[in-house]
Amino acid sequence: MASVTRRLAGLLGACALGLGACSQGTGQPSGTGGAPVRGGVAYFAEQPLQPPTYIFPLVSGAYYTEENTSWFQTLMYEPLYWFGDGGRPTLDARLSVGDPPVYSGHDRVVTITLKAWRWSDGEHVTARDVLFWIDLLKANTQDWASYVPGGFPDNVVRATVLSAQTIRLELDKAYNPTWFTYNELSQITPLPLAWDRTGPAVAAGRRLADTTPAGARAVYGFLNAEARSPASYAASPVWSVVDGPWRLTSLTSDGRATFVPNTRYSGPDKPKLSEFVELPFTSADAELSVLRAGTGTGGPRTSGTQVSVGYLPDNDLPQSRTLQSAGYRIVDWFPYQFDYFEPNFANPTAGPVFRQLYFRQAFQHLVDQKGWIHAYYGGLGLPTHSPVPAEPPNPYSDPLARSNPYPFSLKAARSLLEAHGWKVVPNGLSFCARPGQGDGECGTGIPAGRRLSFSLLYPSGLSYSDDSMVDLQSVARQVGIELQLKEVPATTISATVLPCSPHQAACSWQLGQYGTGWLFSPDHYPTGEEIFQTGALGNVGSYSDPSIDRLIEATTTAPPAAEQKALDAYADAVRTAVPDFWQPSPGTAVVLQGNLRGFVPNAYGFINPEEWYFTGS
Amino acid sequence: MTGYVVRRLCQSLVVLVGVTLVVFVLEHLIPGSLARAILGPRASPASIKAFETANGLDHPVVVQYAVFLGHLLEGNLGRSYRLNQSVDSLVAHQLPNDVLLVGTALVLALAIALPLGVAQALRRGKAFDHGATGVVFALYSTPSYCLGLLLVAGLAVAVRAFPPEAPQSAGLSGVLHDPRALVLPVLTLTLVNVALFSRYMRSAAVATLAEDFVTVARAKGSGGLGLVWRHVLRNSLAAVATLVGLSLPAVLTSGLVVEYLFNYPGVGLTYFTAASSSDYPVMLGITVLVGAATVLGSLLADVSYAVLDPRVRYG
Repeated sequence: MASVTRRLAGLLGACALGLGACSQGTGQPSGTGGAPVRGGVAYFAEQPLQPPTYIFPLVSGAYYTEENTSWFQTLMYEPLYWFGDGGRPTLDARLSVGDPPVYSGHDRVVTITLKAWRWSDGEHVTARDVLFWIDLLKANTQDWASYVPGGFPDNVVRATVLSAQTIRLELDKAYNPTWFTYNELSQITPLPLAWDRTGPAVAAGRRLADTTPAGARAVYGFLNAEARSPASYAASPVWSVVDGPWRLTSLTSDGRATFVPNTRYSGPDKPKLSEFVELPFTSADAELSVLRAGTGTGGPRTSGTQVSVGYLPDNDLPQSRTLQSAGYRIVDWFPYQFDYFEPNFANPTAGPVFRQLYFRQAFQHLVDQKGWIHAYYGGLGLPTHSPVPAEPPNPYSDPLARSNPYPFSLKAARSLLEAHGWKVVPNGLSFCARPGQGDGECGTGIPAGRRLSFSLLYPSGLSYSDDSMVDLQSVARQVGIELQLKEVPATTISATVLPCSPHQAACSWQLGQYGTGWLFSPDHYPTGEEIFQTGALGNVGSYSDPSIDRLIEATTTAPPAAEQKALDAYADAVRTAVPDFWQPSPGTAVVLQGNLRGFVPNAYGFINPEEWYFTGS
Repeated sequence: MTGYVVRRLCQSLVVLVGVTLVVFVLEHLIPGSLARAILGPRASPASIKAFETANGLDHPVVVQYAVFLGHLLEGNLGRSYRLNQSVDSLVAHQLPNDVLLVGTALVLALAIALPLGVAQALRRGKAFDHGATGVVFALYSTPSYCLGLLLVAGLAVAVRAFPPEAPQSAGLSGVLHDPRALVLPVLTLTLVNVALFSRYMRSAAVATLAEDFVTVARAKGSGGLGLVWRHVLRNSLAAVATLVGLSLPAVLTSGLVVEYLFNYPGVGLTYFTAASSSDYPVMLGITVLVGAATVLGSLLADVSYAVLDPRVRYG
């Protein structure tokens, strides 16, 4: 399931050194080079007031944040497959616990063989550990943030352990192997059998509890209870069994997390640092103050305050030169995502207007993506033209993803409206002058005299978003479209911009913006079944187009030979159908201590501090 | 006096319950689904139901409020929806830091403001008074946020005399272990409070100096520090005592800006974050504490009147 994340919810992106994959800041490359120094402590700046709070990888929506998953849990508990390969949004077989899955039986059977990795307690990471995860998930789907009814694990009919290292999954139908690997197997994290218990004591010769649904629920209950005490994580005999490169040694209630290398880590990149510390911050301003007061070339920290990997707040992008002159390096990060705001197709008043393709095209012509990026995003943004984004470079997007089918044009917007029965009143309120369903008429459900006035909810606290929406309001007014802007807390957006039926009071919202992009994680293959398919949980605007549904279905079920063709057909249909209004996808300026190397931003937001090291100079 | 204090405590209890009721009702009037706000827009119906059941949100509001009061009587302030901690442990961790920060700033501010206000009153209309008034007005009119940023830019970034953030070690002992890091946040709060207290003190002292008993004392040969200490200071403190009493809830809230700027997690910022993220248990728990601090502060202020002014007696 893809996740909606805050703009600054991830630091890492697709700037792989040497791949030419990203828009690099004016600093030096971020990858390798220099004489490595063994040891040292790297300090990683957490997002403001976003400390890690939950350690158990089977995480509910309340704790499903990048801070908990991509920056905390995955350091200790390796997912079955690692995604983000050298900055590209693809599977990294080298870092994965599992060998690439093998599909058979006309893509209805998948066989997974695990590498010979070990847990920190000396046990092997086995196929049974994968089954343990699946058992827990099947019995506790309501507690799994990424659960989609009918998706994983519902679509696994039978899971059979064939040997210590091999497990076979039989699926309910044939799936596109790439889709199944990237979007379903991506949700698996093998769990140690040391966790397969319902209480603190482990009886000798015990029967593993996860084999029955009731037992699996009891195991979840025990583990979830253990996870409700973050202060005890570091000393917990449960959470100290890890297979990732790092082991937690302390977590303060403020969110300062300290890790040391897991000496039994079986993966290819053993940690070079002696310690990795995640630092909590109360604000982006506080983080910037620490960066500015620190030394960009300080090397392994000896005293004073230091951030090794931080970020520039949105409003302080011009500070990059100051930081660079102090010895820091700046890397621009763009995650693999697209950005948008939602029309509510079910709203009784606005819905009939939004259902007209010509109107959506006209409205999209009012979004000045290039101008917004230049004026409001500090240049740190990518235009969105397709649900299969072209950036970071990837094997999925077609050339059309780089071209804008509806470029900024007041004239084009006005022409489209006038050609479909609207009397355009610049700086006033345009209205439907020719109702009806025929050519040159306003369209189904739009009465004569209907005026173009909509409310637009957007989240507070994002200056670029605020500026962009005000700009849109001003531009729309020039073709007689009134936008009533309502800036509200992000949680209000989450609580109100939801799928609804026209008769419900909750259907009063008309346009909504989450202030976040659609990040392809943990569903890494850029298909649209969770956002554009009729009835999908993420389809909050209640968009519905049977032809798009069929194209989406094809992307999830196509055989390998036809998968790219199916993906292109879906992407090209959606980019022109404008089910959402596309807007620029913001990036983040990552600030690196001058002598830190090995940092390769990840397109899906993960971090790999085991690859980081300091150089002597 | 004892009867008065007991009556005030009883009234305070009623006020506190009223405050919790108002906050509780207001929270439930906020449009939209709380479970959606916490779990995200694409939570499945089963997840929503599980969340509501686990947190008692599937009961009528009246029942939810009764459960909340019941927990409150047991000393249980609830559990954060987002931070995976009980509100008790959050407050227990952050409150000592707040008390240290705001308390230190308050003591320092009083130590500077009281003599400054009296000295200005004694030299009323002279160069010292004008100069001090100018400085105090400049501080008073500078937002604490701006003042803090200026101190960071000057003393932490340019001169590097002090760290730009407050102590980061866990616990009160950890904070005290790094006193240099306390300088900038304490200085920010102190300067703001000095400006406030000294203005009140100056005005009160000017009024006291014009009183007949001061004239009589002078006529009887009293003067200098003796006059100030025995007659002016004590009789001028009532107004400042009120301010200090009402500053007690500020221990919990007024540090918000400083907490934000100096990376110093405290109750004020936690409350602000909870309010903007629909974390109702945290909001309610801190509301109870701030309400208690407010009524306690105003009670202390009233009692201090009687101590400072023999003419004030409570029956």
